Amino acid sequence: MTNPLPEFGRILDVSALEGAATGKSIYARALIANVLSAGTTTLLIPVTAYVHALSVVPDDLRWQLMLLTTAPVVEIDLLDDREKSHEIADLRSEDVTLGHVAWCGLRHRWPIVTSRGRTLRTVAPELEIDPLP
Amino acid sequence: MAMTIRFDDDETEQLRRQAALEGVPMAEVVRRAVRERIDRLRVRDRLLEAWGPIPQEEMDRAAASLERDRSRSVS
Repeated sequence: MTNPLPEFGRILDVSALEGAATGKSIYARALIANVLSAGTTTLLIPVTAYVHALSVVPDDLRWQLMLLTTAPVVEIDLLDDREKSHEIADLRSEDVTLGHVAWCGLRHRWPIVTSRGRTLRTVAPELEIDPLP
Repeated sequence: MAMTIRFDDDETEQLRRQAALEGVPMAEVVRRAVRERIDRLRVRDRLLEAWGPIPQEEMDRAAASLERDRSRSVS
C-alpha cells in the first residue's frame, strides 16, 4: 500500500537543486538541512528539474543531488502517465521543466523553492513561491 | 535483540492506527520508523559534511518558512 504524501511540503525547482549543490544558495541548503533533521516535510523534486539540475551541476557535485533523492522524505515526481503529460501541456509552457514544476505546485499546493517565481507565475498565477535570493 | 519500549496511550493508539493502515504489525511500523530516521539523518550528515557550517541566520529563516506552513494549517 502506498502512503499518500503528507500535508506539508516544498517543491524544489532547478535553481534550488543547483543552488544547494554548488553553494550558490545557502538558503536552499538550510531548507534541505532543516527538512532532513525534522522529517515532517516532504521535499518533492520534479524529475525534469532533477535532470536539468544534474546537467548543469559540476560532475564532482552531482553525488549530492543523487544522495538527496535517496532520503526518505524526498519524493521524485515522475512523468509516468499520459494524463499527467497532457495536464502539463495544457499549462502551455514551452519549457517542459517549467510546466512540470508549475504542475507540481498546482497539484500539491506546496510552495516552490525557486529563483524564477515571476516566470512560474506567468504559467499559473496562483502558485505559492518560496523565493531564492 | 528484544527490547521493551513504553509508549503513552496516545502514541499507542497512533501506532495501532498506522499499523492497521499499512497492514503490518506494530513492531514493523517501529522498525521502519527507526530505519527511516537513520537513513534521513545519514543523508543530512553527509551533505553537511560536504557543505560545511550553514549560518544560523539562514537556518532560522528556513525553519521560519517551514513553520509558517504549520501555522497556516492550524488557522
